[in-house]
Amino acid sequence: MRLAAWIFALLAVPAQAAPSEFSAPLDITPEQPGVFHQLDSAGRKHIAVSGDTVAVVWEQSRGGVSQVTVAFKPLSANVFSLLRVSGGATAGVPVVAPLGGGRFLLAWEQDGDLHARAAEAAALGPAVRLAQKASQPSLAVLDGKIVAVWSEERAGYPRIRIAHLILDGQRVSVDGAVRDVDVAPPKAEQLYPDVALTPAGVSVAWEDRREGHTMLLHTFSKDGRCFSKPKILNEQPTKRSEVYGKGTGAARVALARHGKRGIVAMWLDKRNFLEGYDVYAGFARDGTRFGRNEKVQDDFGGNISQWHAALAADSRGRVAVVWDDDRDGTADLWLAWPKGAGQWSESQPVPIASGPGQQSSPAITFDAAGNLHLIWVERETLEAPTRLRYAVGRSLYN
Amino acid sequence: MSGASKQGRFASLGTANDAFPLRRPASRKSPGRTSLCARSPLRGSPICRGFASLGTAIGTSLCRGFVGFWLAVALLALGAAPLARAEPPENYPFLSYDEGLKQARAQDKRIFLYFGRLGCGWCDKTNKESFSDPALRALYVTHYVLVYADAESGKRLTLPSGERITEMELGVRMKAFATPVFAWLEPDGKTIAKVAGVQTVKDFRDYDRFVHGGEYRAKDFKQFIAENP
Repeated sequence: MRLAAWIFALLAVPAQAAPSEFSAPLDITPEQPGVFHQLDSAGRKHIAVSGDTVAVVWEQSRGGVSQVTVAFKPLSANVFSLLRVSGGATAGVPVVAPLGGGRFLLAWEQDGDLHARAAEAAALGPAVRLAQKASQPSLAVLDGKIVAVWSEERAGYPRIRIAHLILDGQRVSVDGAVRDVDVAPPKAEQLYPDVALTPAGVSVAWEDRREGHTMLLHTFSKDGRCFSKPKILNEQPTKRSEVYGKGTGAARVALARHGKRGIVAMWLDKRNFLEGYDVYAGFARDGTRFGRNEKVQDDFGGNISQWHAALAADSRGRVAVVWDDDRDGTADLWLAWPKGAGQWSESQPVPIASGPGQQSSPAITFDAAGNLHLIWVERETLEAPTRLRYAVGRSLYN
Repeated sequence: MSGASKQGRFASLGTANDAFPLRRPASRKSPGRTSLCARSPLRGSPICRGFASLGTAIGTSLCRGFVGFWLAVALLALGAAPLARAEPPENYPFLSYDEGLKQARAQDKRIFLYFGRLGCGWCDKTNKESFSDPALRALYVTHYVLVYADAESGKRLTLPSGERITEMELGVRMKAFATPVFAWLEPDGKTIAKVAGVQTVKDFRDYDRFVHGGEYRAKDFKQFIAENP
């Protein structure tokens, strides 16, 4: 019986935990005077692994002008090669998704419009405009299906839109019509969407302001065309006042496929206003209906705000959440993973991204072997130039 | 989990059955600074500082304990008038942060920065009960360049360094984790004073005396108010 319990425990661990042993960090780009890196896109999908290549995409500003850059590295190499992705006067909020075989899809905003292009280490495909007056794209890819979501100005408000994309060689194009994920008449802003694909269909979540405060809504579609009525993702606390204000805040939802059929969502949540933003998550085991919200960080992070939370999950059931907070005086990266039954691990500082200076704005992804690839922005002070760093957390369970 | 076991966890990282080598680095920072078990979760919070800044004995003393704080919250929730949203108060010429910085430099004027959030109850209360005062409006419009930032917004702004960030990221930099947060800035954006939570007309007038009168150059706000009630 005891032996059976041990075997069960060993088998169960990889499906839940994300412990990793991090390598020494690499500079993707070094610090340069007057140059600032931003990792601030919808879903924080700034890093992806395709085949044996890792790609990182970010916004880089200098003199008040931003452009988008992508960096590639073979998993076994120690140096990234960089390519400029965007053109125009200014560009930002880029995301990347893996297409397999070392190929990637990039999407970003450029001069107020939404663009996309395929990419691989040696070259970029042609840039294609997907939408006008649009921003905050996110992407999902599964078994040859590619979907993009974004926030687009429609009838006076930003609305969440979805398109199926196809690739003809290196050229990206929209397959069929671009649709609203919410058919209700526009009433307020819909922002920062994220999307996930499962064999069951398409899930989309976003920030919605129709009730006079920011709520997170999610919807599901079997075919990616006809979506269910949106439901509230972040549980609403009891209203503190019938008189003042409309409700609590929430921000920057991320979605990822979890296991064979499920979805995990993660976001910043201000339901406890004394704690600033906390990190919350929810699981939809069947890919359509979310269970109870789960608090991700431990109590030590309770009296301060968490920021820039990022999510990684995979088809084997691994989940990891990383964020920054300054519980130790300056911003450090912290990591947590689900332990099952609604419980999460204690928040663990990422040792290579802790210590003096500011380590913030992380993004993460798993590779096929369960290794956790991590990027973040590092700077000496909040006013100093930044550098973009990368490290890989080797899975302890493979 | 108790605070004691949490602290014990830090001492034994990487050796337990988590088999987790994420060892806490030799810390140069204060350990346990934010432990909920070590102190009231409210003491020192922006909300408490906001209450304390009301200058009332009741506000300060209420924040000394958890129960007292919630009593204060309940008191705040009572007896007020309806308002739909917490956005910038009406009829105030608020600018974005970067526009405000440009104007402040051009006019050599200090900045009054308001961090709000859509739906924020205490922003709403401050708007209705303080910013509705015509004399306060005249005072602040005359003395400051007014800047409003939405604490959840992805709207872009450019810092004097050339860095482009969102309004939400500005809140990260200014540690505006609860709303409202009010800050008084030099024309170059350097913070003079910052306070969180509901502020009365008197509070705003006190801060104006402290900032516009240049008193901040010689003393902190607490000392100033003690000497100039």
